[in-house]
Amino acid sequence: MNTKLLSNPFNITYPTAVQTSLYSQASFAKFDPSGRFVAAGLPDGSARIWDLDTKSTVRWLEGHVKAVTSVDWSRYSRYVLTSSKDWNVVIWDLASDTDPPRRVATVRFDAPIASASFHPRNSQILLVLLSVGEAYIVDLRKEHRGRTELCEPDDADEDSRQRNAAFTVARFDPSGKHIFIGTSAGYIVVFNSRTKTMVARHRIAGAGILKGLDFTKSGRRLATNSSDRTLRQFNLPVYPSPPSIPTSSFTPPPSSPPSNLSNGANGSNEMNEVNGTINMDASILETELEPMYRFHDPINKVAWHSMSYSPDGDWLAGGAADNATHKIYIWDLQNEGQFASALDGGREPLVHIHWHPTKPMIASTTNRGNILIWHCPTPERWGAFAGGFEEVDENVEYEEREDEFDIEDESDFIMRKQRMEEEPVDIFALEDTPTSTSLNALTSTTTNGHSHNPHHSLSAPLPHPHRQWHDSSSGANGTEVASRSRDEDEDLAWADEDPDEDYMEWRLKVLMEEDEDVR
Amino acid sequence: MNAEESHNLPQPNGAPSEVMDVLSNAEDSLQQDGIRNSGSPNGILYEAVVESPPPAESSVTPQDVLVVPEIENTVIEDSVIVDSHYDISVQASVVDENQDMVLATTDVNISGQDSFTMEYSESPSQDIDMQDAAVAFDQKPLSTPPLTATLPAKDEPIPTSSVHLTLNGTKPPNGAVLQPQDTTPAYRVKFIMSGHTRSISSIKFSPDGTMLASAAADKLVKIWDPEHGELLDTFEGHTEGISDIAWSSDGEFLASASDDKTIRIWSLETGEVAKVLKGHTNFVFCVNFNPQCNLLVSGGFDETVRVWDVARAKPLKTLPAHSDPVTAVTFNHDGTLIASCAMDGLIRLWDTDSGQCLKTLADDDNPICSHVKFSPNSKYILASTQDSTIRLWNTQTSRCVKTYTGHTNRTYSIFCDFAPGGAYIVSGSEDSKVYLWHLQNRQIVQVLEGHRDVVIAVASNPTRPMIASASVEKDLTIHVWVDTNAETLDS
Repeated sequence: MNTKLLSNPFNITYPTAVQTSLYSQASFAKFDPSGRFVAAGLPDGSARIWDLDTKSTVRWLEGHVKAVTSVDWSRYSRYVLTSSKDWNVVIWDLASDTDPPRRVATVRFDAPIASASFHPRNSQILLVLLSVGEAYIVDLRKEHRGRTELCEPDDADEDSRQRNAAFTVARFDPSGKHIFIGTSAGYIVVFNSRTKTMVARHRIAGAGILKGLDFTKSGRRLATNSSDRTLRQFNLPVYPSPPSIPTSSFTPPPSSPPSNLSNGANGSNEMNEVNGTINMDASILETELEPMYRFHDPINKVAWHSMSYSPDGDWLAGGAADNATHKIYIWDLQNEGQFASALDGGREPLVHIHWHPTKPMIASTTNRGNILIWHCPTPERWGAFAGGFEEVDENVEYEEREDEFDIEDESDFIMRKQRMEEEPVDIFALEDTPTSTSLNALTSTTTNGHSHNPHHSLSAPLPHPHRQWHDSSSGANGTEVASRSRDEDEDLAWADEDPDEDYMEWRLKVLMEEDEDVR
Repeated sequence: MNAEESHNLPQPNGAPSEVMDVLSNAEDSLQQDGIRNSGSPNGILYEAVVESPPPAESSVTPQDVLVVPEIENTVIEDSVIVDSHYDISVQASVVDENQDMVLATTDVNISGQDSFTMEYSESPSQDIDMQDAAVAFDQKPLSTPPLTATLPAKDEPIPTSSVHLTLNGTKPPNGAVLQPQDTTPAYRVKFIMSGHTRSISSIKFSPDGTMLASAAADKLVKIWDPEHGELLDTFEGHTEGISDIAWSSDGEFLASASDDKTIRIWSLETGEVAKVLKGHTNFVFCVNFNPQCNLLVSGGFDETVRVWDVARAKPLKTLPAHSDPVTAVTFNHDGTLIASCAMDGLIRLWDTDSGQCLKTLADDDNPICSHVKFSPNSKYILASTQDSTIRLWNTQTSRCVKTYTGHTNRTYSIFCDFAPGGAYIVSGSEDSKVYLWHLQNRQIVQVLEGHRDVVIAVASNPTRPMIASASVEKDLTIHVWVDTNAETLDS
């Protein structure tokens, strides 16, 4: 809403200064998809939900007995998933009226959990990574109930021993169709979420152990963090969707690498050759992915704790694993990945960063458990205090209009004003701003009311945020996706079956904090 | 005028005696055809109101919305729509219950106008005479492209084709009168509620429309049932008079701003004070919640606007907003903006997050500003000023786009609001009346008389065609008004 009034085309779109510090005892902090909240995981087994409007903790998720290792948010932020070293993952319902909120489900494993995440389209499908290096899909839906371990197919390859290494990081891609898993042997393995079969295996040369993955919102680009102290960005190929029933007439997927791989920034074109081998039996795309950009600190050779894309994918932020300083490096992906800035957050070393879903804002966590909220300060515009006054950056020679000081006949003036006021106004239609979070809340309250008002239906056809997001993801690679749309639909339809009860209009109930000075 | 005329219509011969819902049936039939689709961006919204002089067995439904989506060669009720670019031709026919008799038809061409009226002059079918029954559709384009962007423009051709609407149902009594929904409101007083012992300063409907809260100089907050005219609850606690109240959007809490320099947040569940917000250094004059209910904004005679953390009763921001007492503060629909106005005549917009001033709206003469209210989409601000004028400002262009006059406002901070449905503006007045203006053409459409003193507070029910108004010293009553035109629509 305010972007209209605030927008400045010359604004830098990454944060530059610390706005707030949240004293949280957290080991990491993650924004929710609406950007209103931050979830912090604590080593004592609790998790806190911070409200960024009031900069206060609004919910304590108390249920784990050992350190919380990850949190994830459902798409409209109603459900929170926590994983812990106590072998459990818990789904919490923030729409419940209590603190701690109602537990929707607790899923127990037989090893500490390294991370857990929701399927982006359905919070009843979980991806769980155990610290022993195994990954599971847990489906809590009635029809599909079960847990499936994701395994690389056994093949008698000479280097299979090396390949079948422990899984060290696991993420859904933004569409939820695929699961990306990094291994301790420097591979990225891609599974189809629906069939749980492996669709691709990429070797990342020289990466060592993979430590982190992050996707741009479109899901077309992937950033990796690995033990070789280098962050890499890749353009992802389009993965074939495994047929539901394996047929003999299977045509191998294109073995040629996606054309955008050849746009390598370092100009090392000869490096871009992909050793594509198609495993016909399992229809697995075996390629070596060559990074588009590599980011590392050539001087200090610092390792990275985590990295995060900006919402538009134009910037990548890396949190340096320096044990004396708190530094966030920002790279400009629009300009060949060149280094843009290093944010200095003081003396408490950084352990985790996460970029806000819509704004130039970063949450970085210190090893003391404080969460720094970085923002992009806007200078006070004093001109805004005077009506009809406009600030200009430089002096402007003002040329008066020909009739500017003409004396207008009173009646003419009134007539002109009347005519201007004839213009109809629309007090209901919203502009399509995907960031305005209460759009649907508004429509819900109006449509629940009586339909005596014709305008109520006017506000109904709002862009569905979900659909929009899907459009943007498919728009990135036009024709290829179009030709695959049938397969995609199958994957998406599978995820949309038996949908969860997450919806945009849910409200976090305000719980009055107990205090003594009432009355 | 339509209702009046139809009274004098000759009773048509051979008409089926039963009356039924002309338009609702039409809607049903359209729905069966899959044509009703309010979500279609290509739809034109047609609406019509049936108003009938009421014989005893009458059950005519008043209003329905017909949305015709993609119009090119759409088949509705077996009629192919004739494609005629730059022109809309509408044919309407009224068919009896068994759908074997066409009672009346009409077709009319329109181009580039916002509404049109058509009249039946002859009946093509057997023996039924529907003479002089007037049909009018109020045609409003949806606000989304592609079709609608071109519709209201008068100087440009309109790329739409024709619509054939079949309105089926039995013959309405004395002929159907279809009229646009927003011709005139007919608010009639439903209840007069009294209980306060001093001037009533503010009244607000709960978000679900089932309760009405009132606050007065007698230090009390009262909760009323506007459907039955009963007092439900009274909240006691302030030590001085109350100037304003506000509901949280979940209906759980009520905030009251008092001359005792505090704001009290009342829990509707327990009927007790949940929080007391202390910080203002002078009378607190206005208060509002944000849509998420986690923030509260207040303004007062200390000339500041304050933002509070509701759950912790903690002040978050103090904005040195004005140079005179602040008379109204409000959040926009998504809570990212705050608007404030004051006796210094300025309306300021603030960024909720940073507390920075984004804009100032001011008229040349700087009349004292009584009240501000965002339009539902926050594109406009309705502001009443003590030069007896209400203005609608476009927040983006900082232009005044509408002015509404005719009432009296020179002394008090009188509330103004969008009337239920959003087609009208409603305001109290110092001549003891309540005024309703047409939002678009700015004409006074109704004046509600009944109060015996200045009407400071008015409120629009968010879910039903109901207005409440309250008056000061010599009157001390709350009037609940119901739109009788719209009310028949509901039943």
